[in-house]
Amino acid sequence: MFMKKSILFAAILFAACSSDPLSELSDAAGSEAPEASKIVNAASHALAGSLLVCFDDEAVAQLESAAAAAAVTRSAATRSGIGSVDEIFDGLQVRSLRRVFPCNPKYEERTRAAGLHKWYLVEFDEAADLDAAARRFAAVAEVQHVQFNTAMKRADEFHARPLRSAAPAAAAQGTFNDPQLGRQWHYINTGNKSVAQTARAGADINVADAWKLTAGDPRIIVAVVDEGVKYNHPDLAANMWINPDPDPEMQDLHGYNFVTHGPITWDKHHPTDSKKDDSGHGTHVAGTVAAVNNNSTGVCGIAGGTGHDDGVRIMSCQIFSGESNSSGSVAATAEAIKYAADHGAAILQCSFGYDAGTITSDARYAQSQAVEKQAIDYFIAARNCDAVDGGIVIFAAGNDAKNMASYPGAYRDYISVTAFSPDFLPAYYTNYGPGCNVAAPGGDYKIAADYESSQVLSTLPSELYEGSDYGFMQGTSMACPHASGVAALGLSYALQQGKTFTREEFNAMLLTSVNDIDNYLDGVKNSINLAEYYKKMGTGAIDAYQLLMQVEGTPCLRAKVGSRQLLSLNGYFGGASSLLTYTDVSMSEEEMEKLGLTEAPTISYGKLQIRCNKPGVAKIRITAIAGGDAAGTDQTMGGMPVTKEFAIIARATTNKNGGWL
Amino acid sequence: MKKFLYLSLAVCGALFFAACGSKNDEPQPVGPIAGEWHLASWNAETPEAFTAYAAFHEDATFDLYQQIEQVHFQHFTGSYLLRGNLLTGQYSDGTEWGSTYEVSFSDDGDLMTLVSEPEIGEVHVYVREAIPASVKETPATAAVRSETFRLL
Repeated sequence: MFMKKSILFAAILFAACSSDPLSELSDAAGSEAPEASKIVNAASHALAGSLLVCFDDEAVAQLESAAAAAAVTRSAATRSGIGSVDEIFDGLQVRSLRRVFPCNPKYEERTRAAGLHKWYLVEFDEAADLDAAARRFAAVAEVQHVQFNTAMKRADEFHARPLRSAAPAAAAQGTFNDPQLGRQWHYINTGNKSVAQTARAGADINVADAWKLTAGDPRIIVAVVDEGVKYNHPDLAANMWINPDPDPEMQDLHGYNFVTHGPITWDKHHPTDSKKDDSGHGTHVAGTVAAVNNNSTGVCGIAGGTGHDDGVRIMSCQIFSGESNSSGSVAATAEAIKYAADHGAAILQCSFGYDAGTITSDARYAQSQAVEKQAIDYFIAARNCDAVDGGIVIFAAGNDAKNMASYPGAYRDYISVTAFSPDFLPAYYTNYGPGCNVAAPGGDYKIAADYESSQVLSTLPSELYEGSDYGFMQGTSMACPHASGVAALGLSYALQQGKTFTREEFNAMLLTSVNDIDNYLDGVKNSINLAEYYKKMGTGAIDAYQLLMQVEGTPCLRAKVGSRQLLSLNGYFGGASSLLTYTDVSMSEEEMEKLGLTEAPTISYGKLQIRCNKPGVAKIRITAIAGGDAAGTDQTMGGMPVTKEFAIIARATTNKNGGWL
Repeated sequence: MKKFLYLSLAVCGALFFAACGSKNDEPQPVGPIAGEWHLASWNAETPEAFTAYAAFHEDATFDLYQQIEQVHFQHFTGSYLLRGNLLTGQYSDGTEWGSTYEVSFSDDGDLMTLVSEPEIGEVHVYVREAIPASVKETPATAAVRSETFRLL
């Protein structure tokens, strides 16, 4: 495929290249040896026998010529055409040289504009000294950056527990007929003690009411970047994305396997390390987003439709595979993310990351994981849905039980999801604190007598679990697709309502469609001090119905004329609005005059303090931090600023029932 | 003859005052207020962030549909009283309207202006307009304000 596309790609005129976001950081390295400053990350967890190399523009031109020549002779590209680089290649016994982001003529212009065409994956003898190889590449003038091809890990906790009982579980009246819906407390939690003695009604995503308005839309594509999704699963097949223009060589009908560059797999075992076996993680995550609803089969998915082929679509972007040592590599991940952007995904569902604490600032992340960051930026810039002008990126916060989110999710532009259990309390494993934006159900086996019913129930590959198509898993990996599923519902509803939002607006709505969970953080749970999680789980527990209401419109905030008052902002910033940190309240002088304000409104105790002196209606803009007390910066992990604009209507009438007249 | 004339004037005057008295004491909800109305301006501003429809029925009841503090329309019902040009009303839950309004109509009867009591300081202008069926589908509210978002 690569050779064929290289010929096409050689014919494309070079587009102007973007500026290099890493240059400043590299320059800032100061007194380091020049070659050292070009190596952007550490070799820890790096895959042997491969490096990611970013070349300068002149070198790229030579590389492309060499690739085109190799394509003509149908030989593997192992030469760069650059003398100093080829010398290194000889020493390393290079097996292949290819672009990290293969050329697709349809998207090549924007690929070049983003600078992604400059990244190459060099594969060589696995016995070679990786550090030494990186230093040698970094010493070449034409090389801008060298990145170790590190591996990420899935954000789950243990393997799944298969569902042993096929007996239907009673579900709420008026919902779908899927027989196991009653076990999916994470959607509809009635406080059933068979889930957990401490289960609390309402500790869910409030999707039952949302389903009365929409249950998905096939125009919304969610890219599940994960293990391969079992695309022929009986409860997923109807909601799998079908590529309208599959590549004959890739055969990417439902997505692609970016680990082995072959068919999607989900049931592979590692030859030597059973911990690396496939676990069904991707299939489980996909089921939470969009298992087919109302099909009298198995479980429900949040945006799985109503049984009339109207669920959102799942694109399987496989970056983990039990059979491969390169499972979870940065190279595979970056390529998968760009594929998702180029093939129509609106939401990037990412239940993986680096160990919390290995990266502790946005600047360090942008520098050390440059190729992956640039791929995500590319995804964010892609408009694949008429309802929003960019890609929505959602990551798991991580399962290290640490007071910080793991990257990439911790990055300020991405949504990072923490996990709560059926008691509305933090799961014992969840990360919390800086970088965490919102909470969702992730399960917690420790609070259930049977160790499983308090976890998340979803689809599994039967090949791995004693023939069972369903089972329980826990982790922020499971919380993350709840947020993705809710986001998918929101986009579906926006499309159906003909609404359009900016990416920032949609993220703001998603992060403020929440219920308060801080209210429950008192005492001890399984030896963890709950007070430590106070205001650190994000904005609150995500709520699907609230999001759909926000999509429908923004109501007015009613104020009374003639008295100073504190007004709740719950309708705009979610159920925990009084606990958020607000960074800006702005109202123009003209708008202030409409209400007769003599002093600007402020925030006091998490509420809007205002004194209106005459009846009127005026607009106000308020910015809060979604997750934590401060917005993330290059140097400091933090939350995502969310801004809401709405109208205040001031009246002197005192109707208790709120009637207009 | 003069006496007859005085008597006739007295009878007419009595009838005239009786008629006036009848108009003041017994509400006459019929007239140009009957029909369906859409809020066109409020305190001289075209409402952008909110809206309201009202239907005043011949039987002195009303339906009010408003989209102000909630994204969905809320539907209130109740009864109204028109005495001369003074309009008062009461919701079905017993709550009185927030003001008595002085009502006037344009010559063609298609614009209705409600001026609140001075201390309320509101001027509503409504245009005669059929209420959309989608709005009318809104079920009547329990007439109790709530900030609850969860429906569970």
